[in-house]
Amino acid sequence: MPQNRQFRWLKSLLLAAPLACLVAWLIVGGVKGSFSPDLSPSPGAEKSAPPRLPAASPPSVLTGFPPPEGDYPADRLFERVDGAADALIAAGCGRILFWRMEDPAAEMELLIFDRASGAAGILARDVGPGRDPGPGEEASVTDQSVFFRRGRFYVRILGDPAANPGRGRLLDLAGRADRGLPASEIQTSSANPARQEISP
Amino acid sequence: MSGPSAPEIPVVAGAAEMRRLPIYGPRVFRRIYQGFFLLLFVFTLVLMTDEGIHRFPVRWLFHLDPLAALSVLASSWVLPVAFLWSLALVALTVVFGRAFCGWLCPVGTIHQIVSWATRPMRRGAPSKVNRWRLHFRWKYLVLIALLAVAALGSLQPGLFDPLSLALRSFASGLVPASASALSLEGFRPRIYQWAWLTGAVFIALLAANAWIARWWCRALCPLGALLGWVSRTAIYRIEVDPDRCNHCDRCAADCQGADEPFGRHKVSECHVCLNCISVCPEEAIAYRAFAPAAAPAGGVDLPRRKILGAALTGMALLPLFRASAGSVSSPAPGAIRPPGALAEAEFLARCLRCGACGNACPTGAIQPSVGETGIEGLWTPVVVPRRGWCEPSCVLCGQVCPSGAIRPLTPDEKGWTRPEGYGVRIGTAFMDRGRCLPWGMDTPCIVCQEVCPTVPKAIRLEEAVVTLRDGKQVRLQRPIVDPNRCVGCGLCEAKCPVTDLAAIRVTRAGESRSPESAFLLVSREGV
Amino acid sequence: MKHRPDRRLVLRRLGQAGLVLGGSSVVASLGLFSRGRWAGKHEAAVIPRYFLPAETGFPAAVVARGGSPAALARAAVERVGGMGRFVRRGETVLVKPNMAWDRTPEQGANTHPEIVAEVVRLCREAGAGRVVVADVPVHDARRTAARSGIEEAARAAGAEFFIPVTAGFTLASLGGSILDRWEVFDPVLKADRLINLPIVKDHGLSRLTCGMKNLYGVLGGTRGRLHQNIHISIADLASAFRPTLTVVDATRVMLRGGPQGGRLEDLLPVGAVAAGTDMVALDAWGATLLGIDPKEIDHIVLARGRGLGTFGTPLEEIHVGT
Repeated sequence: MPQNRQFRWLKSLLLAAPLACLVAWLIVGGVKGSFSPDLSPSPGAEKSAPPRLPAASPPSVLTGFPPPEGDYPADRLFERVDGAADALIAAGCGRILFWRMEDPAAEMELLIFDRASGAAGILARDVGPGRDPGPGEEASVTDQSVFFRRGRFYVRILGDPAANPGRGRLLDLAGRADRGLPASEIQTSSANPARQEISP
Repeated sequence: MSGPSAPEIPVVAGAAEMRRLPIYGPRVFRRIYQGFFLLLFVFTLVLMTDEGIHRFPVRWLFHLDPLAALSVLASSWVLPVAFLWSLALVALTVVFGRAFCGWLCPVGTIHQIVSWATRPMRRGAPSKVNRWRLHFRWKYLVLIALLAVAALGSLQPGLFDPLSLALRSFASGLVPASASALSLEGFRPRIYQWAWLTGAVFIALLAANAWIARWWCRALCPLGALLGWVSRTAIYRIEVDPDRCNHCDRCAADCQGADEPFGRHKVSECHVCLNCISVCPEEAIAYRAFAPAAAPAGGVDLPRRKILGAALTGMALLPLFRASAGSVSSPAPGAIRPPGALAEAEFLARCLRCGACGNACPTGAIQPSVGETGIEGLWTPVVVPRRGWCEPSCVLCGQVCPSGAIRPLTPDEKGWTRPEGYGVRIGTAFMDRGRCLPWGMDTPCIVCQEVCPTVPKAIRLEEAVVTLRDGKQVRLQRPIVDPNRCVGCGLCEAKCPVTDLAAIRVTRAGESRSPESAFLLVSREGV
Repeated sequence: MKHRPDRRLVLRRLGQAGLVLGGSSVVASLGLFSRGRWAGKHEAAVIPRYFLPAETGFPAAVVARGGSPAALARAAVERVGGMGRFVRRGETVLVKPNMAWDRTPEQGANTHPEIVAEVVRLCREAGAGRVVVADVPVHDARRTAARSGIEEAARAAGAEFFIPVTAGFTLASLGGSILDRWEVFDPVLKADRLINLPIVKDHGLSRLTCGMKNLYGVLGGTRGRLHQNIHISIADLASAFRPTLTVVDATRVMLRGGPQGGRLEDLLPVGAVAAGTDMVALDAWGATLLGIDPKEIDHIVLARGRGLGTFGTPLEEIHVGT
């Protein structure tokens, strides 16, 4: 049936045409190098919610105590101490751990410095010249607070004025904290690898 | 199934059989088109280079894709102009039905080839077994769920879109795997993290063809579902003349879409492969415009509650993602986005997860994220400096990104090669002094400072004299990062000689796309 | 099968096809012209103008001594013109205390709750429509609100109370050299008048925290970054949020360990409350209580340079005696 065959040729042509055009366009475009990418920027601006730097979360540094309620690495110290953070960082503080104790009712902060001199400097800034007998290498004790330092670890204990636990019980707590501190290493040159506790 | 010849057909020399000489059959054209577009797909993969993108419109794959267009529109409420091309595909479907699936789709072609190859593995007589099954409705539910989650702002359809799946699987899964297996030199040997998973997913889908032919296309493909829904209005349809049909069911044996041409033909499932026409011994089937009520139903019945269930499931996913500490609410340090990326929430609403950027990146810095960006960011691109650094004058990723999730920058806008200037920052390098050789090991090394590309360098050196354990004194130069200048390119981390965990590492803090997230303050007064 | 298709079928099919194609085109063009989902989010709010033009006849700042905190606050405000000078009938007044720290009132880290309550009462007496007490604490917001005593005092005096768990933040344009656009606590943007209620304390970085530094509490986001350039950012804050009135709690002053504090021994009982429209003069006065020369504090000098006030002359003193 010649009519059928003609029809089939026509259909075949129709089918092949788009493909042929496509091939031709691609070849011509490829040779000419004329497909420039569409560089018009798509609409869309750039602001969104601020990402937060992650908190370090290794296990509790203080033995004999539950995990701290707050653990602030160097980049988030300000969340605990606001403006004082920069002075702490300049003195080498890399981390603050924070506990809220119930018995006695007190707050305890452990500030970890990378050198003992930094810790000593901040303690001196906090309490001034006088020292009292107490835990650690140096301490300042009042009826409502015990601040002490052992090596590069600086502990601040503040009794809750409403509950008023008293000097004696705060000193007990300080003693327990002192015993729970990591064994202090002897400081040598700064060429030692940084301690694991302080990771940026 | 389609092969060069169909052995099931009895070779009896009759008038009807003589007329079905393959050279005139429309199947030949279909196969030519299929082969051509498959080649085009491969070209697209290969040509995502600086030169290639000028010679070839590499983003055609997605700009033609109506599912990509609809998803981007739903999740970000804008449609980049180039996506208007997808209307052409919609028009094609409205006229010819799901011809895309049968003639153009490279994924369909690959599945077709595998289905043909696994013919012997499928059990049962094809004309009995190759029927439409109830679970083929899943693809509609998948489509609805994905569009629901996209409407809430997360471009998850990008994960399931077949073109995106294919590009991603080949570019960051199968091709690197083959290249490494064949030890091909100079063919951009690449390592992509999680390549095994990316490739395995695709291979698993291919393996399903051993059970049911073209199973992905029939049961899961959301683009197929979308086109299927559109093709319910198709003008050209398969039509069976009931007077001529002798109910031999041979049309079912070769049918690619399992659309039951002989019975209640489902237009939305038909891939327009036209095998049924070629195979019918009575010439009872034709592909005609305005085929009358012989094919009334057109589509697939979905009970309303299933549709609602799918939509609700989709909508529930986004809050779950966002609550799981993903890259929008609490990004990990490793979630470094390519330069030019939009701010995170908008990025996740625009990124098709296609892997084009990772494919184009000349250094292999852009990797699929499986974990750094949470579950919502699965397979979105992140820069992993240990794998490759971000080349300072390169802006390829933005140029190949089909949806504008990564804005196309000019090298000047990126600004890393400009003296005293940088426009875009993707992160900041942080020194790990414990691992750094001059800081922690008394050993000289200044590689990071040497490779730092910014002008002036973002790493400066500080001299120190240390006494070694044997008493010798040595002068060391110790690198210090200047966060005001560091752009986060990762050259330092990539080249740091401490091989496993580099002593200087880039994290996303300080990226410029989210001004509120910078950790430094820059004063306009220059103080 | 050569019959012609039914006309109605043809029309119906064409119609359906046209509908689908037309519909897609419409949706696509909507997308072309849309500005996107995040379009509105990038516009920054504007800070209201709280500061009233100066009136002659009243001192710019006074110090009251010799009474209970509440009595001192009332007396000082009366002397600078009475609350009626600052608050019109029906206005919304934001009272912004220093409520940043999880401390009790006697630890002297936050503004005394009695002063907060008295200022709230003064505002209500002057006819304010709404009095709002709000702050963005550094420590846990709920505990801070409770332990500082300020939440209870504010509510008892008839004010509304907001902390970040009960209100949100909005991007605002501050126009400073460092603080250009920043997230600001919503109650701040909805107020007509701002009454700043700082307490005088030592501060590790800026050496003094008083009125201008207290304005930090309206900011959200990662405030800690501002410490990198603290004096300029404080001056920016002072320019952007120039309060209507400042009332300084100097009943007890923290000499050491600020701003967090905690030790009762670090407090000096000064027993004064100062008030006025000139926050530079008030901050300078606070510096002298800590034994610091105001000229040494950069943000005070910067603020004076920007025309926000002056210092150098001693403040008028009044004695209350209750």
